[in-house]
Amino acid sequence: MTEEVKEIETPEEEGSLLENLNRRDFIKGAAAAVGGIAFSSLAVTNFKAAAAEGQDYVIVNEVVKGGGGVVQGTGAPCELSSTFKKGETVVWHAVTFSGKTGEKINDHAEIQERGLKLQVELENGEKIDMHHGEHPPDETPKVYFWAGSWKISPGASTGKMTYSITAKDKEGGTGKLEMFGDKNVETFPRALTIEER
Amino acid sequence: METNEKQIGEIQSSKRPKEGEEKLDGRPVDNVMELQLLVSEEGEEEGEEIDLPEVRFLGNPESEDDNLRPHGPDRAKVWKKTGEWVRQFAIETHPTIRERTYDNRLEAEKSYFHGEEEPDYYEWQEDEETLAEIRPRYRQIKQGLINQIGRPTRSDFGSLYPHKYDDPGLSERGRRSVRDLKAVFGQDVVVSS
Repeated sequence: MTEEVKEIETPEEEGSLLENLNRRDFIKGAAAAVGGIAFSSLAVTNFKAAAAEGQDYVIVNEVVKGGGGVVQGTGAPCELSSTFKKGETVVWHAVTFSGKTGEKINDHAEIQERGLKLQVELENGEKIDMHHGEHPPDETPKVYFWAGSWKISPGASTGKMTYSITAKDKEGGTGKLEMFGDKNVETFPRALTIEER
Repeated sequence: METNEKQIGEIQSSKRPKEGEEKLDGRPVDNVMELQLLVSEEGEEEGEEIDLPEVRFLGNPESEDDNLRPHGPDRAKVWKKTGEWVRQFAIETHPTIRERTYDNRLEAEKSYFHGEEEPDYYEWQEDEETLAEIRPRYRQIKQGLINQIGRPTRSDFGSLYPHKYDDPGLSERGRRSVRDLKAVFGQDVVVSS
């Protein structure tokens, strides 16, 4: 006897477009925004908070190793990572979307027109300005996204470290990607780990 | 990327007697040396003191001379940490190294975004020509440490980062540390024993 498998129809969802999108859609959108390669499943986003709190910007972010000081055997520059050694450079990549419509906001001219600025704030209060630009410069096809970097000094504290990313535009529109929960347990979004060399 | 434009000053040290009894390698700890690296920004009168790891000096009760010797792993830690700060302030701020490191980023991004083969990256440790040009800026640091605690030995690093297998030779972390240290201070900085 074979059992008939019935597909369950998904009821028409209500609410704003943003409420009906999910994290995966944003990651896919982010990947599309930068050419389909970057922004893996390790990316983090504030889309839930943006939907719940009516934030103006959704930020999708991932963290990679920078081009300088990478300790041999710990991954190549530009490799996705959440663990870094002192002397290495943490690089944040990000793209933004409208919190109202879910639309990508990654056109360089539009970003300038909006006066949009993104800033990373580390757990220790240190702030890193992100810059929207072409990566790598003068390459074709052109790939645009936000990037900011932080060189880990020999005196930095080791252990888990959280960060937040804030978006602000000239009209007062904002978005904030924050990490909640216990940074010492493996939760999503993931905290960074800083280790001795 | 932001960089710290600092002038490297000198090594400052002071000793304090060891409180309580402690033995290392079967020898009593006689005193503890505290070391600082002095750095300043250009035009700044009062510089900044960066604390380096402490070094315990061991006595030898069976010998009549007063020769105290630094504990090897402590000495390795000081050289390693000093090397990291020197790298931060003097090496990575050098225009050639900054430019080549930036090129690394471009190469990495290019291969990352276009699915190309991983390129051969520039390694500052192998850029002897540039390093030889920079080293005179912190010659006094090397000499200061040699005077205070002596040159580090391979066995200092061997004890600090033991090999996880019972094989002769340094562990990966030990080898990396020695390689970086030789690049910062020159090939002659590490001695065999």
